[in-house]
Amino acid sequence: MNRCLFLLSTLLWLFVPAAVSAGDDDDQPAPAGGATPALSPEQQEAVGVILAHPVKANVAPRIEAYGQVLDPATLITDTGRAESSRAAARAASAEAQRMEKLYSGNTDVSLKALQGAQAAQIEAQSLAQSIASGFVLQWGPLAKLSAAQRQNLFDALGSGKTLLLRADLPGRVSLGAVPKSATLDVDGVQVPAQVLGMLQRGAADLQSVGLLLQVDHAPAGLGPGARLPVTLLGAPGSGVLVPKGALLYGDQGAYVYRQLHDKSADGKLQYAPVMVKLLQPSGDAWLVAGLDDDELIVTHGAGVLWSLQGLGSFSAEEEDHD
Amino acid sequence: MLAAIVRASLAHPRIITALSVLVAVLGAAALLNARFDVFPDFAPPHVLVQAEAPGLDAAQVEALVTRPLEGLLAGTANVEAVRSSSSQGLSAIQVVFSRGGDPYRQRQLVTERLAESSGLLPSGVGAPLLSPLSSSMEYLVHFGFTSDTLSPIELRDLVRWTLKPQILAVPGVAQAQLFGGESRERQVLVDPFKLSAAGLALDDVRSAAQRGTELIGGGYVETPTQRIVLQAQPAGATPEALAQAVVTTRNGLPLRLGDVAAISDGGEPRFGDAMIGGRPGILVETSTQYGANTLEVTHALEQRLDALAPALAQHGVQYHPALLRPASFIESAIAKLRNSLLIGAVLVVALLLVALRDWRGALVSFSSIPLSLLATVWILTSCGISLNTMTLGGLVVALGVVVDDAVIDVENITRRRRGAVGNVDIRSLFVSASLEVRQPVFYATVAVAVAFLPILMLSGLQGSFFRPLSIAFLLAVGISLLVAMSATPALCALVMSRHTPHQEAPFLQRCKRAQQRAIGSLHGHPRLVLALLLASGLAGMVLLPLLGARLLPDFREDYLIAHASLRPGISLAETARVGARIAERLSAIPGVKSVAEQIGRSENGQDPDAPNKSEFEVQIDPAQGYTATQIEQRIRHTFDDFPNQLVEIYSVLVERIGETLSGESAPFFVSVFGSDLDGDDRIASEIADVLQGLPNSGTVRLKVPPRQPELRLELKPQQLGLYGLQAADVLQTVNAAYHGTVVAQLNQADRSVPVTVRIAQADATPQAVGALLLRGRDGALVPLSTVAELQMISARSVIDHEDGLRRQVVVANPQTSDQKGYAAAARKAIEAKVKLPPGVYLRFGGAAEAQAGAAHELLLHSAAALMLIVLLLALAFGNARHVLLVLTALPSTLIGGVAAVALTGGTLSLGAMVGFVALFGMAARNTILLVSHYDHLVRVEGCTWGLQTALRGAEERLTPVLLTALLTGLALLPVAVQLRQPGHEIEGPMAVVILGGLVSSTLVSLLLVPPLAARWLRPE
Repeated sequence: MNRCLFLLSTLLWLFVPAAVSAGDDDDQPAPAGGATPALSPEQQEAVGVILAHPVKANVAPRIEAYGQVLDPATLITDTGRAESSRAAARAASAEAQRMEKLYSGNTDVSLKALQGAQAAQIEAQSLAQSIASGFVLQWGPLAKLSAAQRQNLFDALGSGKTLLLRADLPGRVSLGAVPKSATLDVDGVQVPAQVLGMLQRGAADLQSVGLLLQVDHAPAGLGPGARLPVTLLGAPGSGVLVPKGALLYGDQGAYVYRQLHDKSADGKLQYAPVMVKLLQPSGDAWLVAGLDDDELIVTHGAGVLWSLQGLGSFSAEEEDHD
Repeated sequence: MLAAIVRASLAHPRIITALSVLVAVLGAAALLNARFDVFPDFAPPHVLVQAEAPGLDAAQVEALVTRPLEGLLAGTANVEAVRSSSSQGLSAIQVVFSRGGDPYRQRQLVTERLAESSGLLPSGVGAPLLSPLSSSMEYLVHFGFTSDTLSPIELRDLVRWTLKPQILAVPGVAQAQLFGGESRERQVLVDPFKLSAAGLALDDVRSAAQRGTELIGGGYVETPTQRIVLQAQPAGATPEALAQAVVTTRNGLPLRLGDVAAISDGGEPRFGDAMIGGRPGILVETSTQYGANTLEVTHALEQRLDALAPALAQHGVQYHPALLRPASFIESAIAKLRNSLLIGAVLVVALLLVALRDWRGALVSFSSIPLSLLATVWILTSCGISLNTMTLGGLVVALGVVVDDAVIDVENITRRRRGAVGNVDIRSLFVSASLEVRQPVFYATVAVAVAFLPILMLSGLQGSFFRPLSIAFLLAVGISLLVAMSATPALCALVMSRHTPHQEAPFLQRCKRAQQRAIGSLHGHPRLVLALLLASGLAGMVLLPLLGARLLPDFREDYLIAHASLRPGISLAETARVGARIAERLSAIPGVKSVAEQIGRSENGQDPDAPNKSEFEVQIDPAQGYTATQIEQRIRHTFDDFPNQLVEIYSVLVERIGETLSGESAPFFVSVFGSDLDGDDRIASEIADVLQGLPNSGTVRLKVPPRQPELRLELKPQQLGLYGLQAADVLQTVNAAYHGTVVAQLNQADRSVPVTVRIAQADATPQAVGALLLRGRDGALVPLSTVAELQMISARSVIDHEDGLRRQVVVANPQTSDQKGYAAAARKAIEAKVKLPPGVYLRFGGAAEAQAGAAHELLLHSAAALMLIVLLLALAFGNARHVLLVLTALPSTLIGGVAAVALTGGTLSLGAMVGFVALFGMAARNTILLVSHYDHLVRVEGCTWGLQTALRGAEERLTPVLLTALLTGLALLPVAVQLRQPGHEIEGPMAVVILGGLVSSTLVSLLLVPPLAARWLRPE
């Protein structure tokens, strides 16, 4: 038994450091090139290098968009046109059925009249479909509303308490998930808005993806046609937050410096660059992937290490881009 | 002719004395109004041409701006070198002309050539500008301003528009460069969404901003009796007014700038910054006009700034004077030299009184000093030569020689009077006594002058330094000769004719007795005497090269400059942050008075530095209990804690002189030339490895820095076509977003503010660049990443050229006093270990190389001078044995100089080398006086040649030879004793060499030459 324990402990003694060493493999990549930068504690204090653990976070992406307050009259008109076209189609259909019944009953209805009624039915239905399609393209999310819901919306719009807003994302022709919420910047005041859904018709002048927003507590005076910045909040992503000042950019992407566990032969603290994937900015920080929150990264003074690494590693072998 | 001058002077002693007084008064007046400077104008005439190329990277600047301009400048007359540096947004070309030319004409030639550049440079690149013509030192005074109440823009406004005109109004100020703060610009920040929604393009905004601020004269209204001028004012003078400028009209309603852009005042893009004592501020660097009096201009400028300081303080602006002030060195050096001159003069008077035992003789002898030196100053200033440490050094060295001529005359007159029996005709005695020594003194003085010719003929930087010294020396010696032939006999006739001189000083009598015994003993051993002469001469020649050699000594200045380089591509803010921490630590060192940091460059400044480079200007005060060396060591130690930057610390003078020599401050460097930049870098790295392997290499670095990260933007032609975009429009939008386009200048009463159109950017990251929106066909917005490939790359931050060829430079700061030895070892090691590929070649440079060149030149010229001296001796003696004896005695004088240098722990600096050359002249003078007296005894007094005559001649010449040696020694003693004091760095080693050499040459002349002469000479 004792012999087994001894063997086990010997194996552990042999392999655990190796495993730890293998775990340090991520110390190796050096996107900035050159030797591992190292600083003595005095030097670190002198140059003002500050270390901290990155903070785990779920951050919703903020998408800047350009909003325009829509005219409710257009919606009401479009809705009326859609409903009247549907009614007209229904009426034309009923008339065609009635004519067909009369004609088949050998009543005094000519074939010409029947065919006329049928043609009118098809025309009315086509018109109704066209108008309905146009409505869906123009007001997509509202097309799914029931009549009652729509009436409530009209009432709210009519009172001026609610606004509909089209938010365009210029330069984008597609959008993944529909953002959950949005805020409007009305003369510096942040006003919440509800994202009703994506609009299928792009704005011809902006060539952009559009979203329909509903603002339930609109500031007074904000009328149709007004243009204002909108920030859309997407689905939160998870990662760690690092200050912008900690990030450096190289030809392989963004990276931060983290402190290595082992000191150099002359007792200096060593640092290694770690590649990170930038997810999204969040204030003065970036949400990034590729870092653990237990790692000690350089949050202040990363430029010192970058400079140290660059000055100590000048090589003519770098790829020529001249 | 010499006799005629002497006779005329003795015939009209009062007139000659009155003339002498008049000359002295004129000299004194010239001295009071003289132009003082640190050094003579040592820099060759040069012109710095700079062209701003906003938005272009180093490789683009090289190809599009630097090469065309170099092409234009190539072939300009008298150009010695064309050096250029292409960096982000700036092409800086330095055209160095041959020395001795007219700088104004040379500038004109460059201007004419550059006039053709307008069609060669790409649009957006500014016209090439010439930096103002300034003195070699360039630096006048650096001072700073900080404020707790004013913003960086307000502080810069105050300095730029209120103070700078007053600074430039001071006569002699050539330029005032501003670092730090923020330059105001009126920013039109365009919202791309609003712009697109309004169906407008960036051009519309640019045009509207331009027209909104344009000022067009109104003309005038003429009534039958009056002409009334219409004074038009631009509408957009304020941000609010500019916001109302109409861009276009839609449906009858105006669309204004404010509808699509935010208008406010902000800071221009910055390429430089400044920290004063670790705080952000404005650093003002002034330079001296070519030929201006540094001291006078400094005082005038400081007077003006001191007068402004109280008013500035009321606005919450603190004035930081004298952050770098070369005038302090001038004041200190001149004060030290003046003291040395005075102490030397007092010692000379004391010795004259003791040796001659006659105040009249001492007065006559001494009077030659002020008379000769003041007359020299008069001539120097009349020729436009400034009084600087070199010309004053020449006068110090001349002090000993100047008094010699008079002393020889006075001593001979006194000796003859002592020997006169009965009623002799005093006037005849004076004439014969003066004439007796006139010819040997003349030839001896000419020999000294000829010995100085090699120094006068030095070329390059060393020539620029030592030519004024040798001119001052030669003038003083020449005038002293004239004084000795005119004023001295005249004064003797006035004050000494009715006076019987005292007996000779007892110590001289004892010296004579000892000399007689020594000669008597040595006379029996001629071979021993010859062996001693040859052995001492040989030993001197063998030991001389073993002394380490360096061109320039360490200057003891109150200011140090630390050049710091961070990695290229570092931000200005990071450089400033680290700089503030360094400044904080430096300021805490006892003995450090002030610390200022200059980061990057100023607009059209002298230094085309990138934001990764900074200069710390540290003022030290050794009076605070620490020596300058201790303070400097602590400063160097402080930088050890900042390993993220390469640091080189120089005194101000060494920095300026080094850059003048070769464009580099370092004492040793190797330029690698080749068209393949990577190949150059590879070879340079190998050379750097070789140098680092050598002992005492100090800091070794590559001058052209490593690459910096760049975001390459490559447009996709197909995508551009798809969105109806033109490449130039895309690039203009990018430029507007990340640099800004200046569309107009808003001219106000006393200032002008650029109006800049920019695209508002939410986030300044590489990712945000791809999201930049472009306005495509039909007004659609397209992100930049759709039409361009964006890739982070590493590219060159700086590309250097010399004479049109690409170059990399390896720089070393050897930590040894023997820089020449280091350079030789480095050269040998590089040649052995580095194999050069075809098309790559090396050029070695730096102070060590210059020192070797100077030594070589000095050796060649000295050989020619030696030939001249031989001819002169032949002319003087007409006897080959006489000439040979003088020449045999010469080399043995070396040993004293070598011993003196070795004892003082010095190295063979240029000053010491000049000392050796001067020493030869002085040694020849002693032997000439002795040998010519032997001739006189035999030819005039009818003595028979033999040991007795040789003993008599040696005895009679002991007093003048010993006296002149002692006088020269005492005159130079204060300089030699203060060897390591400011102002004595160059003359100090020279004085040490002369002092040591005088000991050996005097011993040789008095003890070894007479016994040899007794055996060997055959006077007729």
